[in-house]
Amino acid sequence: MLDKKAQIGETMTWVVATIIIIVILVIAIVVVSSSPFKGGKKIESKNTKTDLLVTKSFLGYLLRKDSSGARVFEQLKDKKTYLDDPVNGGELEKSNIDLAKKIFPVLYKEEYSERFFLGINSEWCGWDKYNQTSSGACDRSRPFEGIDRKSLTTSYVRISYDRIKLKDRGNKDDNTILELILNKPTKIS
Amino acid sequence: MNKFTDKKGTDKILSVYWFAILFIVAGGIVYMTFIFYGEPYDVREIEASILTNQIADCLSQGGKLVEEWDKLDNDNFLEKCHLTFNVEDTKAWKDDQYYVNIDFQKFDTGDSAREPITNGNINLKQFCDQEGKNLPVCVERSFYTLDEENSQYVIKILSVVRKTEKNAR
Repeated sequence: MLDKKAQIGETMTWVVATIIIIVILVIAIVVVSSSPFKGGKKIESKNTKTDLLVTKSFLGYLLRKDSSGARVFEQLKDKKTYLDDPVNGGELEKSNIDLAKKIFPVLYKEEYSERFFLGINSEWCGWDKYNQTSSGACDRSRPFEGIDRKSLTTSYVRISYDRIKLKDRGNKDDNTILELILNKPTKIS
Repeated sequence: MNKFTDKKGTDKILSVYWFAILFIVAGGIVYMTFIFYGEPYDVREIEASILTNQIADCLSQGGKLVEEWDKLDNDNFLEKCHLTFNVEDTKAWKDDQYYVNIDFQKFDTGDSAREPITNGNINLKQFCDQEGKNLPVCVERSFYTLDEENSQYVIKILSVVRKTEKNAR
Protein backbone atom coordinates (compact mmCIF):
# COMPACT_ATOMS: atom_id res chain seq x y z
CA MET A 1 0.00 0.00 0.00
CA LEU A 2 2.83 2.37 0.80
CA ASP A 3 4.46 1.77 -2.63
CA LYS A 4 1.53 2.98 -4.69
CA LYS A 5 3.02 6.45 -5.26
CA ALA A 6 5.90 5.28 -7.45
CA GLN A 7 3.67 3.06 -9.58
CA ILE A 8 1.04 5.73 -10.09
CA GLY A 9 3.78 8.31 -10.88
CA GLU A 10 5.20 6.14 -13.64
CA THR A 11 1.82 5.65 -15.24
CA MET A 12 1.04 9.36 -15.12
CA THR A 13 4.35 10.11 -16.84
CA TRP A 14 3.33 7.97 -19.79
CA VAL A 15 -0.13 9.50 -19.97
CA VAL A 16 1.30 13.01 -20.12
CA ALA A 17 3.93 11.87 -22.66
CA THR A 18 1.23 10.34 -24.82
CA ILE A 19 -0.81 13.52 -24.84
CA ILE A 20 2.24 15.61 -25.73
CA ILE A 21 3.27 13.22 -28.52
CA ILE A 22 -0.22 13.22 -30.03
CA VAL A 23 -0.47 17.03 -29.87
CA ILE A 24 2.90 17.43 -31.59
CA LEU A 25 1.94 14.91 -34.26
CA VAL A 26 -1.35 16.66 -34.94
CA ILE A 27 0.42 20.03 -35.27
CA ALA A 28 2.97 18.52 -37.66
CA ILE A 29 0.28 16.91 -39.78
CA VAL A 30 -1.68 20.14 -39.97
CA VAL A 31 1.44 22.09 -41.01
CA VAL A 32 2.35 19.56 -43.71
CA SER A 33 -1.21 19.55 -44.98
CA SER A 34 -1.32 23.31 -45.28
CA SER A 35 -0.89 25.30 -48.52
CA PRO A 36 2.95 25.69 -48.72
CA PHE A 37 3.27 21.99 -49.12
CA LYS A 38 0.18 21.11 -51.08
CA GLY A 39 -0.91 22.39 -54.48
CA GLY A 40 1.84 20.86 -56.53
CA LYS A 41 5.48 21.77 -56.93
CA LYS A 42 5.82 23.86 -60.06
CA ILE A 43 9.13 24.06 -61.82
CA GLU A 44 9.61 27.17 -63.81
CA SER A 45 11.82 27.47 -66.81
CA LYS A 46 13.11 31.03 -66.37
CA ASN A 47 16.30 30.48 -64.45
CA THR A 48 18.71 30.60 -67.35
CA LYS A 49 21.07 33.17 -68.73
CA THR A 50 20.13 32.39 -72.35
CA ASP A 51 16.91 32.43 -74.31
CA LEU A 52 16.70 30.69 -77.66
CA LEU A 53 13.95 32.87 -79.09
CA VAL A 54 15.71 36.08 -78.07
CA THR A 55 18.89 34.71 -79.66
CA LYS A 56 17.06 34.05 -82.91
CA SER A 57 15.54 37.51 -82.83
CA PHE A 58 18.92 39.12 -82.20
CA LEU A 59 20.50 37.20 -85.07
CA GLY A 60 17.68 38.20 -87.39
CA TYR A 61 18.14 41.82 -86.30
CA LEU A 62 21.86 41.75 -87.03
CA LEU A 63 21.34 40.20 -90.46
CA ARG A 64 18.73 42.65 -91.61
CA LYS A 65 19.71 44.94 -94.44
CA ASP A 66 18.53 48.52 -94.41
CA SER A 67 17.66 50.61 -97.45
CA SER A 68 21.34 51.07 -98.31
CA GLY A 69 21.85 47.31 -98.48
CA ALA A 70 24.16 47.15 -95.47
CA ARG A 71 23.40 44.72 -92.68
CA VAL A 72 22.99 46.04 -89.16
CA PHE A 73 25.92 43.88 -88.09
CA GLU A 74 28.23 45.43 -90.67
CA GLN A 75 27.15 48.90 -89.61
CA LEU A 76 27.89 48.05 -85.99
CA LYS A 77 31.36 46.92 -86.90
CA ASP A 78 32.04 50.19 -88.68
CA LYS A 79 31.19 52.24 -85.61
CA LYS A 80 33.69 53.52 -83.15
CA THR A 81 32.77 52.81 -79.58
CA TYR A 82 32.51 55.56 -77.05
CA LEU A 83 35.78 54.49 -75.55
CA ASP A 84 37.62 55.11 -78.80
CA ASP A 85 35.82 58.31 -79.63
CA PRO A 86 34.16 59.95 -76.61
CA VAL A 87 32.78 62.76 -78.76
CA ASN A 88 31.21 60.93 -81.68
CA GLY A 89 31.57 57.31 -80.74
CA GLY A 90 28.80 54.99 -79.61
CA GLU A 91 26.28 56.24 -82.14
CA LEU A 92 24.22 53.98 -84.33
CA GLU A 93 21.84 54.91 -87.13
CA LYS A 94 18.46 55.91 -85.83
CA SER A 95 16.71 53.39 -88.06
CA ASN A 96 18.67 50.56 -86.48
CA ILE A 97 17.99 51.86 -83.00
CA ASP A 98 14.30 52.18 -83.75
CA LEU A 99 14.22 48.65 -85.10
CA ALA A 100 15.80 47.31 -81.92
CA LYS A 101 13.26 49.19 -79.85
CA LYS A 102 10.43 47.70 -81.89
CA ILE A 103 11.73 44.17 -81.50
CA PHE A 104 13.11 43.49 -78.05
CA PRO A 105 11.05 45.53 -75.60
CA VAL A 106 7.87 44.75 -77.54
CA LEU A 107 8.14 41.05 -78.29
CA TYR A 108 9.46 40.19 -74.85
CA LYS A 109 7.64 42.68 -72.66
CA GLU A 110 6.05 39.93 -70.58
CA GLU A 111 9.24 38.13 -69.73
CA TYR A 112 11.66 41.03 -69.50
CA SER A 113 11.55 44.67 -68.56
CA GLU A 114 11.77 47.40 -71.21
CA ARG A 115 15.35 48.13 -70.23
CA PHE A 116 17.92 46.50 -72.46
CA PHE A 117 21.55 46.94 -73.42
CA LEU A 118 22.88 46.79 -76.99
CA GLY A 119 26.50 47.63 -77.47
CA ILE A 120 30.12 46.68 -77.44
CA ASN A 121 31.77 45.39 -74.33
CA SER A 122 35.55 45.37 -74.38
CA GLU A 123 37.33 43.26 -71.85
CA TRP A 124 40.58 45.04 -72.49
CA CYS A 125 39.34 48.04 -70.59
CA GLY A 126 39.12 45.95 -67.47
CA TRP A 127 35.49 44.86 -67.40
CA ASP A 128 35.19 41.81 -65.22
CA LYS A 129 32.31 40.00 -66.81
CA TYR A 130 32.07 37.46 -64.04
CA ASN A 131 31.88 39.86 -61.15
CA GLN A 132 30.16 42.57 -63.14
CA THR A 133 32.57 45.26 -62.01
CA SER A 134 34.56 47.68 -64.09
CA SER A 135 37.86 49.43 -63.92
CA GLY A 136 38.19 53.17 -64.26
CA ALA A 137 38.46 53.05 -68.07
CA CYS A 138 35.07 51.37 -68.45
CA ASP A 139 33.27 53.89 -66.33
CA ARG A 140 33.02 56.10 -69.40
CA SER A 141 31.63 53.32 -71.62
CA ARG A 142 28.24 53.81 -73.22
CA PRO A 143 26.10 51.41 -75.21
CA PHE A 144 24.88 52.01 -78.74
CA GLU A 145 21.44 51.89 -77.27
CA GLY A 146 19.79 51.12 -74.02
CA ILE A 147 20.78 51.34 -70.44
CA ASP A 148 24.21 51.65 -68.94
CA ARG A 149 25.57 48.17 -68.47
CA LYS A 150 26.48 48.89 -64.87
CA SER A 151 22.84 49.47 -64.00
CA LEU A 152 21.68 46.00 -64.99
CA THR A 153 19.89 43.97 -62.38
CA THR A 154 21.45 40.73 -61.22
CA SER A 155 19.02 38.69 -63.30
CA TYR A 156 19.25 38.98 -67.08
CA VAL A 157 19.58 37.18 -70.39
CA ARG A 158 22.73 37.87 -72.39
CA ILE A 159 23.40 37.04 -76.02
CA SER A 160 26.91 37.87 -77.13
CA TYR A 161 29.24 37.45 -80.09
CA ASP A 162 32.93 37.46 -79.24
CA ARG A 163 35.94 38.82 -81.12
CA ILE A 164 34.01 41.27 -83.22
CA LYS A 165 36.43 42.89 -85.63
CA LEU A 166 35.61 46.55 -85.30
CA LYS A 167 36.90 48.90 -87.92
CA ASP A 168 40.16 50.65 -87.00
CA ARG A 169 40.41 48.74 -83.76
CA GLY A 170 43.59 46.83 -84.52
CA ASN A 171 44.71 44.42 -81.84
CA LYS A 172 41.96 45.47 -79.51
CA ASP A 173 39.45 43.44 -81.53
CA ASP A 174 40.38 40.19 -79.83
CA ASN A 175 38.54 41.14 -76.68
CA THR A 176 35.60 42.90 -78.27
CA ILE A 177 32.15 41.49 -77.56
CA LEU A 178 28.89 42.52 -79.19
CA GLU A 179 26.12 42.11 -76.65
CA LEU A 180 22.40 42.23 -76.27
CA ILE A 181 21.26 42.03 -72.68
CA LEU A 182 17.63 41.90 -71.61
CA ASN A 183 16.86 42.62 -67.99
CA LYS A 184 14.50 40.42 -66.07
CA PRO A 185 12.07 42.35 -63.92
CA THR A 186 13.16 42.79 -60.33
CA LYS A 187 10.94 40.73 -58.05
CA ILE A 188 9.19 42.77 -55.42
CA SER A 189 9.14 40.86 -52.13
CA MET B 1 2.98 -11.68 -1.22
CA ASN B 2 1.98 -8.09 -1.69
CA LYS B 3 0.27 -7.65 -5.03
CA PHE B 4 1.12 -4.01 -5.19
CA THR B 5 4.84 -4.61 -4.98
CA ASP B 6 4.83 -7.15 -7.74
CA LYS B 7 5.90 -5.06 -10.74
CA LYS B 8 5.88 -7.80 -13.38
CA GLY B 9 2.28 -7.18 -14.36
CA THR B 10 2.90 -3.41 -14.52
CA ASP B 11 5.90 -3.84 -16.88
CA LYS B 12 3.90 -5.96 -19.31
CA ILE B 13 1.11 -3.38 -19.48
CA LEU B 14 3.65 -0.61 -20.08
CA SER B 15 5.34 -2.62 -22.86
CA VAL B 16 2.10 -2.87 -24.81
CA TYR B 17 1.50 0.79 -24.24
CA TRP B 18 4.98 1.62 -25.50
CA PHE B 19 4.43 -0.21 -28.76
CA ALA B 20 1.11 1.53 -29.19
CA ILE B 21 2.85 4.89 -28.90
CA LEU B 22 5.50 3.74 -31.34
CA PHE B 23 2.92 2.80 -33.95
CA ILE B 24 1.05 6.07 -33.49
CA VAL B 25 4.22 8.09 -34.03
CA ALA B 26 5.35 5.95 -36.97
CA GLY B 27 1.93 6.21 -38.55
CA GLY B 28 1.98 9.96 -38.19
CA ILE B 29 5.40 10.24 -39.83
CA VAL B 30 4.37 7.99 -42.71
CA TYR B 31 1.23 10.05 -43.24
CA MET B 32 3.17 13.32 -43.29
CA THR B 33 5.72 11.89 -45.72
CA PHE B 34 2.95 10.64 -47.97
CA ILE B 35 1.25 14.02 -48.01
CA PHE B 36 4.44 15.88 -48.90
CA TYR B 37 6.07 13.56 -51.41
CA GLY B 38 2.78 12.45 -52.83
CA GLU B 39 2.43 15.84 -54.56
CA PRO B 40 3.67 15.66 -58.16
CA TYR B 41 6.19 18.02 -59.71
CA ASP B 42 4.59 20.17 -62.39
CA VAL B 43 6.95 20.28 -65.35
CA ARG B 44 4.45 21.24 -67.99
CA GLU B 45 5.73 24.80 -68.36
CA ILE B 46 9.19 23.51 -69.11
CA GLU B 47 7.72 20.94 -71.48
CA ALA B 48 5.76 23.62 -73.34
CA SER B 49 8.87 25.83 -73.52
CA ILE B 50 10.92 22.98 -74.95
CA LEU B 51 8.21 22.34 -77.53
CA THR B 52 8.25 26.04 -78.45
CA ASN B 53 12.02 26.01 -78.83
CA GLN B 54 11.91 22.92 -81.03
CA ILE B 55 9.34 24.52 -83.29
CA ALA B 56 11.37 27.73 -83.48
CA ASP B 57 14.45 25.72 -84.42
CA CYS B 58 12.45 23.96 -87.11
CA LEU B 59 11.19 27.19 -88.64
CA SER B 60 14.24 29.41 -88.41
CA GLN B 61 17.92 28.71 -88.86
CA GLY B 62 20.73 31.24 -88.79
CA GLY B 63 18.37 34.14 -88.25
CA LYS B 64 16.26 33.36 -91.32
CA LEU B 65 13.23 31.25 -92.09
CA VAL B 66 14.01 27.89 -93.61
CA GLU B 67 13.55 27.52 -97.34
CA GLU B 68 10.29 25.59 -97.31
CA TRP B 69 8.63 27.46 -94.48
CA ASP B 70 5.69 28.41 -96.66
CA LYS B 71 5.15 24.78 -97.68
CA LEU B 72 4.54 23.60 -94.13
CA ASP B 73 0.94 22.86 -93.31
CA ASN B 74 -1.13 21.09 -90.64
CA ASP B 75 -0.61 17.69 -92.24
CA ASN B 76 3.14 17.62 -92.70
CA PHE B 77 4.24 19.93 -89.89
CA LEU B 78 4.90 17.27 -87.26
CA GLU B 79 6.79 15.08 -89.67
CA LYS B 80 8.92 17.88 -91.09
CA CYS B 81 9.82 19.15 -87.64
CA HIS B 82 10.43 15.69 -86.21
CA LEU B 83 7.81 16.04 -83.52
CA THR B 84 5.26 13.62 -82.16
CA PHE B 85 2.24 14.22 -79.97
CA ASN B 86 1.90 10.56 -79.00
CA VAL B 87 1.71 9.99 -75.26
CA GLU B 88 1.88 6.96 -73.03
CA ASP B 89 -1.21 4.77 -72.60
CA THR B 90 -2.25 5.96 -69.20
CA LYS B 91 -5.03 7.89 -67.51
CA ALA B 92 -7.27 7.33 -70.55
CA TRP B 93 -5.11 9.66 -72.64
CA LYS B 94 -5.68 9.41 -76.37
CA ASP B 95 -2.76 11.37 -77.83
CA ASP B 96 -4.72 14.56 -77.11
CA GLN B 97 -2.48 16.16 -74.53
CA TYR B 98 -0.77 18.75 -76.74
CA TYR B 99 -1.75 21.64 -78.96
CA VAL B 100 0.34 24.07 -80.99
CA ASN B 101 -0.61 27.10 -83.01
CA ILE B 102 1.90 29.02 -85.13
CA ASP B 103 1.10 32.45 -86.52
CA PHE B 104 3.23 34.10 -89.19
CA GLN B 105 2.88 37.87 -89.11
CA LYS B 106 4.49 40.57 -91.16
CA PHE B 107 6.62 42.66 -88.84
CA ASP B 108 5.73 46.07 -90.27
CA THR B 109 1.98 45.70 -90.51
CA GLY B 110 1.10 42.84 -88.18
CA ASP B 111 -0.93 41.24 -90.98
CA SER B 112 -0.88 37.53 -91.42
CA ALA B 113 1.79 36.40 -93.88
CA ARG B 114 0.30 32.97 -94.47
CA GLU B 115 -2.14 30.45 -93.03
CA PRO B 116 -1.40 29.61 -89.40
CA ILE B 117 -0.28 26.09 -88.59
CA THR B 118 -2.22 24.22 -85.92
CA ASN B 119 -1.85 20.71 -84.62
CA GLY B 120 -3.06 18.66 -81.69
CA ASN B 121 -6.15 18.89 -79.53
CA ILE B 122 -7.73 22.24 -80.40
CA ASN B 123 -10.02 22.06 -77.35
CA LEU B 124 -7.06 22.84 -75.12
CA LYS B 125 -6.76 26.37 -76.48
CA GLN B 126 -9.85 27.60 -74.66
CA PHE B 127 -8.21 27.01 -71.28
CA CYS B 128 -5.42 29.50 -71.92
CA ASP B 129 -7.50 32.45 -70.73
CA GLN B 130 -8.75 30.70 -67.62
CA GLU B 131 -7.21 30.54 -64.18
CA GLY B 132 -7.54 27.76 -61.74
CA LYS B 133 -6.22 24.42 -60.66
CA ASN B 134 -5.92 21.38 -62.86
CA LEU B 135 -5.91 23.31 -66.12
CA PRO B 136 -3.60 22.87 -69.12
CA VAL B 137 -0.49 25.02 -69.21
CA CYS B 138 -0.09 27.47 -72.10
CA VAL B 139 3.13 29.12 -73.23
CA GLU B 140 3.00 31.75 -75.96
CA ARG B 141 6.21 33.28 -77.26
CA SER B 142 7.36 35.15 -80.33
CA PHE B 143 10.53 35.80 -82.24
CA TYR B 144 11.70 38.06 -85.06
CA THR B 145 13.14 36.62 -88.23
CA LEU B 146 13.76 37.33 -91.91
CA ASP B 147 13.29 35.43 -95.12
CA GLU B 148 15.69 35.25 -98.03
CA GLU B 149 14.30 38.45 -99.51
CA ASN B 150 15.04 40.37 -96.30
CA SER B 151 11.34 40.60 -95.45
CA GLN B 152 10.68 40.78 -91.73
CA TYR B 153 8.36 38.49 -89.82
CA VAL B 154 7.20 37.85 -86.29
CA ILE B 155 6.48 34.20 -85.57
CA LYS B 156 4.08 33.58 -82.67
CA ILE B 157 4.10 30.10 -81.20
CA LEU B 158 1.43 28.93 -78.76
CA SER B 159 2.19 25.62 -77.05
CA VAL B 160 -0.32 23.93 -74.74
CA VAL B 161 0.33 20.90 -72.56
CA ARG B 162 -2.46 19.19 -70.64
CA LYS B 163 -1.31 16.11 -68.66
CA THR B 164 -3.07 17.33 -65.53
CA GLU B 165 -3.38 13.86 -64.03
CA LYS B 166 0.37 13.54 -63.72
CA ASN B 167 1.36 17.10 -62.90
CA ALA B 168 -1.41 18.60 -60.80
CA ARG B 169 -3.79 17.49 -58.08
